[in-house]
Amino acid sequence: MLATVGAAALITALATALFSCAGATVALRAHRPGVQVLARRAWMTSALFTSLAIVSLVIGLMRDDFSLAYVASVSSREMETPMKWAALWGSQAGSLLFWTWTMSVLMAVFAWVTLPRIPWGAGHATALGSGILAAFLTALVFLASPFEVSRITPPDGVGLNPLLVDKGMLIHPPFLLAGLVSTSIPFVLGGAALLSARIDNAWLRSVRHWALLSWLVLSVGNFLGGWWAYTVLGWGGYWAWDPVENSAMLPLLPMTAFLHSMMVQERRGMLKLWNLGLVAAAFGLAVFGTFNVRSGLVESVHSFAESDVGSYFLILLAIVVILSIALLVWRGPYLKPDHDFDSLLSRESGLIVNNYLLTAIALIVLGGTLFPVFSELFDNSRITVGPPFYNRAVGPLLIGLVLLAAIGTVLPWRQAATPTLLRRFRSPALVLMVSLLALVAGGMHDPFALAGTSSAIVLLYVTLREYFLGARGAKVARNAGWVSAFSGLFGRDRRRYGGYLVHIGFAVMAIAIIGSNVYQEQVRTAVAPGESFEAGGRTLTYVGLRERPGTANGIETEIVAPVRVSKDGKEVAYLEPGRRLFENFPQQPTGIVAVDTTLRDDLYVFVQGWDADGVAEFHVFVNPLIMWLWIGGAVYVVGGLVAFAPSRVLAPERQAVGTPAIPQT
Amino acid sequence: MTMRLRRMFSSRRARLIAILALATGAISVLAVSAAGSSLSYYATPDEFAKQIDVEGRRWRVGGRVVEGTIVEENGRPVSFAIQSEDGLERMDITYDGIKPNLFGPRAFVIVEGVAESAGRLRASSVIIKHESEFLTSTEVATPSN
Repeated sequence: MLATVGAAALITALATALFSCAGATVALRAHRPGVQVLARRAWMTSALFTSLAIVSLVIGLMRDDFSLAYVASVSSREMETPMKWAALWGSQAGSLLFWTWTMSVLMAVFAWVTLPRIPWGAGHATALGSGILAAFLTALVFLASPFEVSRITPPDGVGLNPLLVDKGMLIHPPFLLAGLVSTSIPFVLGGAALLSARIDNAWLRSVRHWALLSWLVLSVGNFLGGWWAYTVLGWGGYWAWDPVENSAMLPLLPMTAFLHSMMVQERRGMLKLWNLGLVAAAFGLAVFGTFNVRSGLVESVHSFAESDVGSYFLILLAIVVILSIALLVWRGPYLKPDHDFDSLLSRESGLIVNNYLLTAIALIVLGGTLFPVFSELFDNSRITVGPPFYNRAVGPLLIGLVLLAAIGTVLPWRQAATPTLLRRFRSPALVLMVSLLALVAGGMHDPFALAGTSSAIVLLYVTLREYFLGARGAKVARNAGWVSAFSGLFGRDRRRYGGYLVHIGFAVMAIAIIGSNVYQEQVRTAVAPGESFEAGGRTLTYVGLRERPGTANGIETEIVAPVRVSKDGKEVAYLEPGRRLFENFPQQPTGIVAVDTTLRDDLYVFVQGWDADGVAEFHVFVNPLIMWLWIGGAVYVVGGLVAFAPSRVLAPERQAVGTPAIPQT
Repeated sequence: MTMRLRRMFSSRRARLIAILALATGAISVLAVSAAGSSLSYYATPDEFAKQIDVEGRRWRVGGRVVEGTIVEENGRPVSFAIQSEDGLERMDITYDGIKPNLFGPRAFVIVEGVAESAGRLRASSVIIKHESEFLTSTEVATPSN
């Protein structure tokens, strides 16, 4: 019953999407606006049917309907309700259904809110968008249906993969999938601009919120992924440069670049071709990610089982790339810049260098991910590159990006007289020198850490100075108090001051990444119950093994090796690292990581194993500054939300091109 | 020629492009030198067995842990063998690091390390591939009694 409803809903959704695509095309060709109205409605209707499909699958999961092969493969009777929700995207077909459903809902919102505002390209946007939706629905209907019926209904399901039994599973995958999917909307808008040859700032005005949304959700998805890897997977780190992790990060890079470079087009009418290329790249990379995770192209620890869907997505990816390039070439004559640079020392050249660095990072990450594929083509051997490659190649560029964010904040639009520039850069340069000296004096000698940390400090300084100068200006102008002047900044120009908040978060995260990478310590030791050892300036006393019964979700029992953590004779934490044994997967226990978190560092403890006498072997990581990674991430997200919120008043600076960002001092 | 060159670089855009082209060269050098230090060959156990001159090179090998080959010390695996799904060749792994989550017989692992001899690898890292389609060593849904 559920299977029939779900499968029928998906086929109907495909039909409405195809109808919408065809209808919009006919409306454009035959100039029949009435048909376009129908096409738009059909596009929105397909979201209703995908919703019906996903609700069917959810009901199947909640009711333990194991006649659905998918439910039987990812769920089991005694799994708790939240984990049954997680099972929705726990495997191939379900995650694809979630992906397509998210896409249809985003597109329905787009058709509802944005289409009426873009009469110049509504038809093209409808045709392109519903076409993309139909392409994904096709995969879902014909290649990886979550509504296949088991030949024999099993009495119970297998249950979710033990690694996925975690609360993080409830929020990380949906954010990441939604983030990847959301790159389709800027792509649709860019495509509509190209098809309708309206390549002025009209498409940029409509795309800003969608691009910001996509960037924000993608960022959150990646942060949650790192956080999950750190707290659950238990290897002491948060990012391993695995091909699938790289695929999740890749679309974020062109999207970030686009949010910066679109300002250059808005103000100066430059980079038109480049901006369209970036939204196409973001969507192309998102499709590449879905392909990569399903194709077995690159050996990854996260990938789904190989399936036909993989090759289907490769074809889809090829179509996206070829179509984008063809459109850009076709509309090339419309993409000439309105202006040349006034000066190389200007905000716009800073933003171009920012784009350059982000693109370079994206290419290096993509190149590293695909390295085994290339090497097999040329050398018949699959050569992979490991994390040291990425750290060494991307690390310096990231530091450059941090420093550039600081420089760019200080640079004015168009051009400025040399004395003005000198005056503006005087104090940031001083801060850079002083922080370098202070860090060296404080015992930091690693050149990578020195360059990165001092750059991040300068970025913090110039950004906070922007807030201070802005608030002071408002205070004088409106004769207000500091507090209202400061909060008024966010009301006046959310985009600018929200963006600065993102920069602050980015700087804090950069410091945390450097601290945790360069200054990580490890201790490995075997101790008998009652014995102590030292790690990270703290004393750890092993209490002895203890067994506790399992809770639910297939957990049979947990064996923990409690540790008392004390500092200067005072107990500061009681940690319970251990191992978790599963009923259905008895020989594959998972580790329970225990972490003592402070603002200074994390004491990350896990138990390797134990012998018959209860002597346990501990592996302890001392990870400095990890807490600041999450704090920086939170600031970054809040900044993104501030920038996303609609501005009540258009900022006065926006109209006047070339106003110095900093009042004269 | 110089006149033409000068005219070419008179535009600020052209100058910026020239600067970025130079930077591209620098970044390529950086990337290539970084790659040189972290390359490893990916192979299945069968492909590994066919290679000659494996010793001393870095390899990444993926395969399933063969049941009954895990030797543990204090509950920590120190050696085990892996084999491809449909493969013939086994490969012995010695390992001294963290026991990854879900490590056990029939788990699909990706080991990375230096080959000690043909068919033997000293692993510096062992990671579990977390598959969505999960293989269990017990029969599914057998009532436990």
